[in-house]
Amino acid sequence: MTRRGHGPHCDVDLIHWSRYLDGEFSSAKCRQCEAHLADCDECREKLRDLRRVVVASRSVARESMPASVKAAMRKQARALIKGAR
Amino acid sequence: MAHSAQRDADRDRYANLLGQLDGRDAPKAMERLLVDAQSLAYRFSLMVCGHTEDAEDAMQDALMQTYKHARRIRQPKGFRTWLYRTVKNACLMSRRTRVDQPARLESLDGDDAPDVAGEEPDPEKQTVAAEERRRFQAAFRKLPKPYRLVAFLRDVEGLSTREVAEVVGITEANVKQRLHRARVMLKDALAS
Repeated sequence: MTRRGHGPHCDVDLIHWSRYLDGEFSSAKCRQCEAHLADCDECREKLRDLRRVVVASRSVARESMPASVKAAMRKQARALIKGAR
Repeated sequence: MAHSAQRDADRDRYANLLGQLDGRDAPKAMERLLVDAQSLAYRFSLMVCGHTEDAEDAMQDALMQTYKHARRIRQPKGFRTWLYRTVKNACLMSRRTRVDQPARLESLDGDDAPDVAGEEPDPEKQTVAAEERRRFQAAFRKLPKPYRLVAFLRDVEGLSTREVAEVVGITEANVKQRLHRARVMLKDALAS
């Protein structure tokens, strides 16, 4: 990875860090990324913000299923299975 | 659990359930598959379509399709993508205008207790978490639909890039492109 700037003016973009998060880079490129991160506050912040987005995505829907909806699903499933016997 | 580990666990689980459909535990196995299909349709409707009034139609469709076809699909890997494709089609095709009818399902923002097992909840933490969840969901629903669909399948549901490409019908390169852009849009929306 070419260093394109540091601190407040670093222009390594968020797409780059999203690709890094997804493991799209070779190990050599990952090492370059890590060296850059060690040097650049702004990119560490970008990466942290992206991680938050990914973590929020992973947790949001599964945690929010109302118990009454789940109970209604079970009831419907049982009724369908019972009706077909 | 990491997403790849979750994917493997799901495949094992589906392999197990599909294998039980001809045995003594068939009703229980079928019930779990049907609840999974409906749960997915519910999440899909709310996160991708954003219309609670459509969730019931999508869930009903997912229920019937899964009941009808589950016994014929014996490859767990195939079942997982089949389920997502079926739910996606059910959700996207079941858009109906129901202007005069109130939504009967609770939205994700509702007051109903979430179905989360665990220790005694801290009310203050719950309020903060609920507020963060609402903000995130609002930002997610504002993503352009092609991006929302990919971000839902990949980051919310944990499908692999290849599985998302199969379900959506686009190339893996396109999946990656949409996913990265969706994350950036979400990050910007949450920062504002």
